[in-house]
Amino acid sequence: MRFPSTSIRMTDDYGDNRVVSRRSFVRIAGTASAVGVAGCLGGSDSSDTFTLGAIHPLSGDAAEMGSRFQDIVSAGVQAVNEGASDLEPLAGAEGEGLPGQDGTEVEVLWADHQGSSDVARSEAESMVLDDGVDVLLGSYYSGTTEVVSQVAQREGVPHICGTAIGEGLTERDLDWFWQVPPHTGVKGESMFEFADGMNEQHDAGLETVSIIHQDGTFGTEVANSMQRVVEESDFELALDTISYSAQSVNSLSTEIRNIEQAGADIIVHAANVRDAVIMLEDMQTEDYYPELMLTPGSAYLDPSLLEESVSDYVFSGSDFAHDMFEVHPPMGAYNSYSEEESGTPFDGSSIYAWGEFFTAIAAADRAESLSSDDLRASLNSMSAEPYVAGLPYPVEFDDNGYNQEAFSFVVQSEDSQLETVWPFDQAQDDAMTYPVPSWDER
Amino acid sequence: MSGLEQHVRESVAKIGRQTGLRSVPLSYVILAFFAATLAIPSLSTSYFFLNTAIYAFLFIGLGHSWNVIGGYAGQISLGHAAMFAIGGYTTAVLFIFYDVTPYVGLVAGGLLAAVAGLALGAITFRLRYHYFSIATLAASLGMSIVFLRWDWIGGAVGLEYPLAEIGNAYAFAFRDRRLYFYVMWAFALATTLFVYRLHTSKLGIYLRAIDMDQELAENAGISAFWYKMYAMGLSSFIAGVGGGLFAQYLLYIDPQTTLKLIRNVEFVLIAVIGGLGTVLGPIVGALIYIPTREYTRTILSGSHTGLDWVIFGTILVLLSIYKPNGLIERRPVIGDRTGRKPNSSEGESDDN
Repeated sequence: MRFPSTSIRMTDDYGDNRVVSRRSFVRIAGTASAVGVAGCLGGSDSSDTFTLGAIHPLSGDAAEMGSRFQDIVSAGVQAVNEGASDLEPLAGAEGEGLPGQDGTEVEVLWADHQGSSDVARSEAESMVLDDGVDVLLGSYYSGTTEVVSQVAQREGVPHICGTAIGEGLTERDLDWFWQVPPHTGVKGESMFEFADGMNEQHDAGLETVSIIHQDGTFGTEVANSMQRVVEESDFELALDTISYSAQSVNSLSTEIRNIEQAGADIIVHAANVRDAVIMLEDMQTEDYYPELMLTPGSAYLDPSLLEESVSDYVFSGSDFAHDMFEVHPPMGAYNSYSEEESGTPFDGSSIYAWGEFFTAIAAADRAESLSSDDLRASLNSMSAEPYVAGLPYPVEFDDNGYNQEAFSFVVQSEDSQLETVWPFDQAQDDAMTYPVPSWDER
Repeated sequence: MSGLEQHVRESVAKIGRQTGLRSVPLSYVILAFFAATLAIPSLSTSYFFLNTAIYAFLFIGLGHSWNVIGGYAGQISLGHAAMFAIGGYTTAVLFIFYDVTPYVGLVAGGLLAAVAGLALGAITFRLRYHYFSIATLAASLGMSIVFLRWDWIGGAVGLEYPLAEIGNAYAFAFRDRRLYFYVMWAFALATTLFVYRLHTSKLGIYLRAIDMDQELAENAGISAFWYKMYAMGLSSFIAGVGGGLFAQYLLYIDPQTTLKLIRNVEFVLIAVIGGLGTVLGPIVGALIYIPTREYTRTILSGSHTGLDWVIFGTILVLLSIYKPNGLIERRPVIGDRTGRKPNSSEGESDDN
């Protein structure tokens, strides 16, 4: 069941709205259809509203993150519909509604794919065919994103993905799919350019890498990309890639000992929050820490992990850092607005949802009309300056629909804060702590 | 009890016997149901409604699949998702890697699932009661780990059908979703007719005898092991074909979707809700379970995570109290109330 995000601020309110929303009522009526009375569901497309269908994990392991997505996008919807001229050059913020579409209001419907591809497909098709959404957003996991983009392709509806970073998503000859954030390959390149820079500028002597990952879609995809990047770089793999069951892992001590024995200088870990905590706590127990703990972000950027002291000094590829507002002041303004209006500030994951939403807004605002074909043309010809789409880098798609301007910074965590350490010229003085102190020196 | 009250009770019971489902031949009920449901795609233009119907009919077949081994033979398998996944992956791999049409892939998937089922049965049928259930669940979970790490079949990332094939009849990938409904409808009909035949066949009688008392059945000369193997092979074949149809509908397959823990439980739920060891049980179970799952999931997911399963739990508790044998109850196989032999054609309407 979906309902407009314009009416929500906090997650608890979300549930209440769900019960009384018009679409909920229609769906409940539809239950009667299923038991024998033919229903009359769907067909609710509203021509005077730009409707986006956001499909994200709102339950399960990633529920808290999905909730943050909702909060932040609700602030974005408010900025567009009510106007927030202080936020210029953010797309759609200068007037009430979409200025380029005669002030058309924006509405976001939400659906929970529960991490399952079959659910994602059902929700995507229902949103397009029953709710008549103009654009699909989402859906964080690469597997669910694949099936949502299938639906978009079949139905000729734009699917803007700002939250899934799978490297191969845009290599599938799709006409209706656009990926905004840096994919795992680009992230890996940034991470190892940073490691190269550490060797050159800090004489770090980094040579060998160990890749360890949870065996879900995210971890496997990241590990595959990282392995390719390492093999194409001057670094070497110290041992074969290690995988473990994300659902059942309780200890990573054995894996850590193997990495230690192999003498890896850098550990790349693709993890969920739970196993990231296990990894760090077990490294503390084993009194071991590599030269660089260098992660592709995700769990290691999650606010709940950053609160854990064991996460200090981890380096991660990221589009977000708490000090990025010094270098990118508009991002600071956006963050303040989001925190003030929705109660949720940016973090390493939710900034992607903000970029996903405002890429759609930027495309719609510049399109000749809100028809699918015009939205598609607008996305294909998009050339948004930094900040316009809510991100610190430009948005300009290549022929495959990948944002060729997407960029990943490298950040370091300390005292629950993320600070930019690479590109070196965007880092604040003394932002980086290196060499990383051993466990007993912390 | 007063005479009047007794008269009323007898009258009500008489009317019930004359007008109830059990007075109608089972074959008529089946044909009427499938004839009536042919019109479902025209009842509503809603995709959600059609999607729910598609899954309901797919799961009628999958419910029958589990019911053959769980309901008739009394072997409470908790690992049926393994056969489902084998069928799905076989169909997908044959088409994606070798361009073998899914019309062939579905049969191949069913056969491979049957082989896997027989292998699993050969190992686990020596176990009794909950040990069998635990072993089958362990097999399914173990397979999940293997599939997650098996790069050739996409590992955790899964396999996606080439999107250019959508609309290609050879690829069994339809653009019109109503065609998927009729495919699932045909699958449900075929499995229902198969189980209808099984119900009064020698195999069906033997399986139910094994379910009632395996030792007694063996003493009567029935080889419990081999008849359970028959049932497992047939059950697994249906589950494999169902898995293939699921992959064709989704056009994507991954371990998370096919082998998640709850998938194993779903097959059991349908048969338990509907009625173990009955022809109509999986139909009733699927028609209750799937719409309830779909509507509760969409209405209650997100901030109400898990509440849909609380609802199912409540339904199961109520069923276990008031309808412990499921909504469609099975009558005794040997020496039923009418005294008719269960394998006689006259007895079919009673034993549904």
